Amino acid sequence: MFDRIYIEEAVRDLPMTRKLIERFPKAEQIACERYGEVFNPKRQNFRAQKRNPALILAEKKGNRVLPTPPDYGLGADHHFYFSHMLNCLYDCRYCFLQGMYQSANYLLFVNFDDFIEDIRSEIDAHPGERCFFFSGYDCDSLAMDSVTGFVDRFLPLFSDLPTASLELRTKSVNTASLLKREPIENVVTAFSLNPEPVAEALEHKAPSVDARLAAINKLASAGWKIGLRFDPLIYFKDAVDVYQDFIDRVFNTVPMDAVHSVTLGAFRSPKTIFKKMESLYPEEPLFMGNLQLQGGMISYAGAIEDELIGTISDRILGFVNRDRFFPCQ
Amino acid sequence: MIHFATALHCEANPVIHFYGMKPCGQLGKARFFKGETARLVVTGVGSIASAIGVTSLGERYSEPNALWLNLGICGHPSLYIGDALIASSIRSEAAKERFFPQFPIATPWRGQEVRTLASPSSQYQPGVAFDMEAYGFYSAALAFTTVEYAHCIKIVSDNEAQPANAPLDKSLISDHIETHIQSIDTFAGQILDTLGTTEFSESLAALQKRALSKFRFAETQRHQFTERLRKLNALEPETEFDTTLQAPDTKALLNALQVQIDQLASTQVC
Repeated sequence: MFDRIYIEEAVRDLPMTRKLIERFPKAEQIACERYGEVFNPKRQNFRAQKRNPALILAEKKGNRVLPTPPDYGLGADHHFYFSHMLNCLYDCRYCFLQGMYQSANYLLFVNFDDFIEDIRSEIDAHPGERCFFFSGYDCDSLAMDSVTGFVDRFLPLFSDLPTASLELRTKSVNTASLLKREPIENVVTAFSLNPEPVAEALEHKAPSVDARLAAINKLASAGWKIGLRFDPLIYFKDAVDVYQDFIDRVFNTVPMDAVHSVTLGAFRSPKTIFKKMESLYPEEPLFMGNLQLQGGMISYAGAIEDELIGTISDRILGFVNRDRFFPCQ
Repeated sequence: MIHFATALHCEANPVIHFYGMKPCGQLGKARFFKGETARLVVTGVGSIASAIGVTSLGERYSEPNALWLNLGICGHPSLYIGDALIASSIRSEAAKERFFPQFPIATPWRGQEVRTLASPSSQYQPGVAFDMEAYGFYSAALAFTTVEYAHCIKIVSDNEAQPANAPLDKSLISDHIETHIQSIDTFAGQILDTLGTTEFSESLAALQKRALSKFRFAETQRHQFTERLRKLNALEPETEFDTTLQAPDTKALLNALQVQIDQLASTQVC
């Protein structure tokens, strides 16, 4: 899976590091003082690295749990995100990660205990208030779970903390670590979904839509709460019709009582990140047309976005109540 | 295009022969050679000489899609003489910064730390290859490319069992390099395949030529025009867009191209 593992000095002797080194005995081990030496230098080509990414094992010092931007909430009193890993197994062409980081190597912060302590501190700092933690902002929460053991380490924390919720954001069908345990009421597995034409053209290396829907149903049947994330919506010829059919299909497949929340957002990106993505994939039609720059953000031209969001919101609201629907405006 | 840098002529000779290169000039100590698919600079020994040679080669031949390879000999405590390795990290006793080359493909050689020294040493260290050029080569090459497309391939010339002896056996060094040149060429070809290069289709190149002679573009507009042609080239390279030349001015021309792009993009996103 990896032919190189970069190991930061500070984590060389941690049990998780040793375990991962044992797991990939053929990988060359390369020592570094700080992960930034490998991950951050400017003269890197994300697209080239994505062909053969290495694993970087490092310590996350500080800023481990952060508040989300104001528009990214699910109705709790406080929303936070944390990233135990940067970069993703998949290669979705619309993903901001490819414009965010210099390197496509997988950066895994192995000091899980520090993350857990910081999550606990935030909960303690807001007694009696509902706190929601998002885990899949800079990586897919489940795609590399068999390597990272993330679920086994973090879920027990939430089963003991009824005022806190955790979202596992994913496109993965790697749900074994969830299915082997009893469902936890305040843990939501949120699947990113797009109709087949979009998934096949833009969600490279990700499981098929059918496989994702099957995984959703397995989890729902086992009693797990499900999030449905229609974000980003992609504009193309006949997009509205295709998305409406897709919404019908999803809601006719997924048991409604398992649905915790539904979010919706059209493709958008900060200009600087968009420009980098565009320069990495200059031949990609997604970045070429029907877009506008407004307030530092690139998004679809107003009429296109309004039509996409409007019609698809209406369709979704035919299946779920407004209290479970969170469109990102 | 591959850009080789070697310190010595005996390291360069098998490469020159393999790629059918001819001499093409010199600058100070640096000697340049070129073939159809590769160029080479013999830089002279040492990190600074290597950096100067690489910079000279890069400035002489502007080539955004080149693979830069430093090919040479090294000392290693335990690898066999004649074994090849590729640098997975590069450091110098004279600098704090370290380089970490990245690999878009799996490499056929083992990765090793390469430490660039100012003079030969037989004080070998476990898992570390000693050379005299890699650091200078790498710092200079990064002015022209990224860490995925600059690599140091080293052939072990001495080890603890057979430490370095002056003078160098030049013929043996050439033989060692020659042994690996085919696999180096294969590796280079595979890495270069990861670099996509696109030229305008004939019809778009003709449109560009006609538009540039018909309209007076401001610098920003010229940039926008090229960008829009690049997008059309990706979307529909063989379609004729000549009607856009009927636009009354550059602004209308750019708008007409963008309308075409919006329509084509919406049908090709998926």
